[in-house]
Amino acid sequence: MAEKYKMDLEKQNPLYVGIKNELDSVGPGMCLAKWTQVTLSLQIGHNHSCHHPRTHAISTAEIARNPSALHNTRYKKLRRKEMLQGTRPEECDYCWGVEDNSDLFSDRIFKSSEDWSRPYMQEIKALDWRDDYNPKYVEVAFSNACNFKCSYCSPAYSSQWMEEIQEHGAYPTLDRFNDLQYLVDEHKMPLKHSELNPYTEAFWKWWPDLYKDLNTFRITGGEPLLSKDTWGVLDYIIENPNPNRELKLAINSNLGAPDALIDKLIEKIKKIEDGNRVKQLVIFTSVDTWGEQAEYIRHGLEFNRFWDNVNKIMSQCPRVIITFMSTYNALSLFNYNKLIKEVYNLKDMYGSYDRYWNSAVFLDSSYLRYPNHQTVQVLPYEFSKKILEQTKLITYYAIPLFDPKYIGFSDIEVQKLKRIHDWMIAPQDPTKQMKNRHGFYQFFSEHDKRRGTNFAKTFPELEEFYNFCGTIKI
Amino acid sequence: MSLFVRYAEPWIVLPESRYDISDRKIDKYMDEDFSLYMRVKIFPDRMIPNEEGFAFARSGKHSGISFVKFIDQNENEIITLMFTYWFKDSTFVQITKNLTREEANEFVEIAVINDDLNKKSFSLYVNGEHIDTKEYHNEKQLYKFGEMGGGGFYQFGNGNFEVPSIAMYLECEFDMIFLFKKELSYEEIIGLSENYKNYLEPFLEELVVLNKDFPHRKDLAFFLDFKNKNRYKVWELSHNGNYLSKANLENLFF
Repeated sequence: MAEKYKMDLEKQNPLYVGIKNELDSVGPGMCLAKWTQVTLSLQIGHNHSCHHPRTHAISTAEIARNPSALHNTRYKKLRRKEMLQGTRPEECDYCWGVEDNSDLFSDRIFKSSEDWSRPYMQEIKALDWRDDYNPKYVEVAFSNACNFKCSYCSPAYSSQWMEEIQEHGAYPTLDRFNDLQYLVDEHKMPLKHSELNPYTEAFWKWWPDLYKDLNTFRITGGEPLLSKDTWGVLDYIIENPNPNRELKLAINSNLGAPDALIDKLIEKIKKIEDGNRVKQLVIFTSVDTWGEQAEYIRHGLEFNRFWDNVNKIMSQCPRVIITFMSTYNALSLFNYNKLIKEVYNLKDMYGSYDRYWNSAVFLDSSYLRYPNHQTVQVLPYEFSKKILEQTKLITYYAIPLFDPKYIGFSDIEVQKLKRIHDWMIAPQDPTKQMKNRHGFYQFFSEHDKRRGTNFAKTFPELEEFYNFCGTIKI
Repeated sequence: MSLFVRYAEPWIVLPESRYDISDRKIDKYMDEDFSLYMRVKIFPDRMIPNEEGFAFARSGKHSGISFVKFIDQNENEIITLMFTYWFKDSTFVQITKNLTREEANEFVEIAVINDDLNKKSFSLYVNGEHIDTKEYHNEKQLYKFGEMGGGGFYQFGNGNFEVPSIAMYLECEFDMIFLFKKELSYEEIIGLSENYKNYLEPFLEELVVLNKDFPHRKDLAFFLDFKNKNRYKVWELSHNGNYLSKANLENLFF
């Protein structure tokens, strides 16, 4: 690292520099997330600590003896050993790439600085690599049961997708999108819902011990509202005589489940809110643009009902926060401005000092990276102007300071949208782009056949481009 | 629809957006030729006597349009409109116009045209009347906006809100204001103020933007008719990303 830059960093980021020094005093590969964080995919029996390394399989033999081996797998303990003994685990190469090729801090510094990591630095440093450790930040998917089959999703996360692929096979793109063979090869085939799931069983054995010290617990899926285990977690929190009131609870939901389940969710949230049983409760939902085009992207979505459900939750639950996780893709462009405007209206309508966060709702715009054929990078350059216009629009609705007294978009909401524009216009390999455009047509023409949709009618703005993609020969 | 600017609650256009979303960096738009048009109302009864206040200013020694209410020894009231432009060598050009009470109680239409390239002159028009044209010496350079500390702002209802002791606040109400990086004729400026609606196209429900046929569109810094605004920003018809925003010292670069 250049000395001058290092000095600048020290001046500007004393927290991160301090964390880095502490981590490096153990070894150059040390990262607290290997202990404090875990994402559990119980439908396939995999986990990883930090989203950068690939997931690895959980041993059923290990969890039979020790349910915390859902997180504390032998595989992971060996990686911890490497960290504690001063070497860099190979699976964490994302961070080593950042550290070796730039002056930037890598994610191991940021993840170790989080409030679910940093306070535990000393106790983790004192551990033996064989010791079990309860994570403080846990994400869990209980099942792949889902009533949607979003265009960019996969059978590992959606039972609807699984049924379609089992019936019709992979999509005829060059990479055979959603081919089940990949899941077989990676040992990621979801367990059938009718089968006993040993991973879920182990989770419930571990849960009472895990729950009491959790900082953040986030339920993902599938669609969590379709899983009995989600309701089990909520009931556990509601009924526990000594609730963990420091818990940050997050639930993902497509908010497209039957009305009875939405009402049931509201009822549970109210009990949690009224009993002050968590530190905060956030619902993460997803929508990628507005109206009919959003319905096409997220197959199964009934847009108006979805928006009604958002309003229902916001109006009936005075503290809860809703974050829209928007996976901005090639089909998001034409109506995203309406989404921006309506999210602003939600902020305006439901903003309150009683909410857990500074804003009642958030629009978290991230760009789709995979499948390649659906990213904004397949589109002609001139379409990038639409995203720039949308960035100007969100800036118009932005606030001076991130404080509940202001109503509007925060700095990060604006910057994330601008980032999509910058990513779209970044230089690309023309050969890969041509292949992706070929895939664009192959995927959506097959999509229309299988699902009875009509791409050109739903996206008249893209009809010419779509037809062009159909002429590409690979 | 208009924008009422309260005393000491100024609004600003920050030309250099930190999100880098602007098609046009407008911080130098008054450095060379420019055409400025505004309709602004002041409130003489609430003005502090003998205290100058700026309706519109750009960074740099209070260049812009200001008003002052003088009360002489005989309690006579004189309300003066001033256009002032400072140069890099700390000399300046000033053109003034005294307003009658009737004029000062209504919206005042102001146009300033700067021909820097050829004649080196400023012309001031008030309510359709050519007040004066003043030339400046060829060797004089305009005070460069971008050379001001902290970058350039276009300020509304003050002269420099960052420094309260010289803020020169003014309570005022805007009905329209636009700025071009170009010398236009007075007739052309008035024509645009009257006919701009012919060039509007819908952008998003109630929002509209000037279409590509709007004359001199590429030289337009901002065009504000104040028909749409939210709590902190005024919608800008060129959709250039340089919004008029409520000023906040805690975060100048929002």
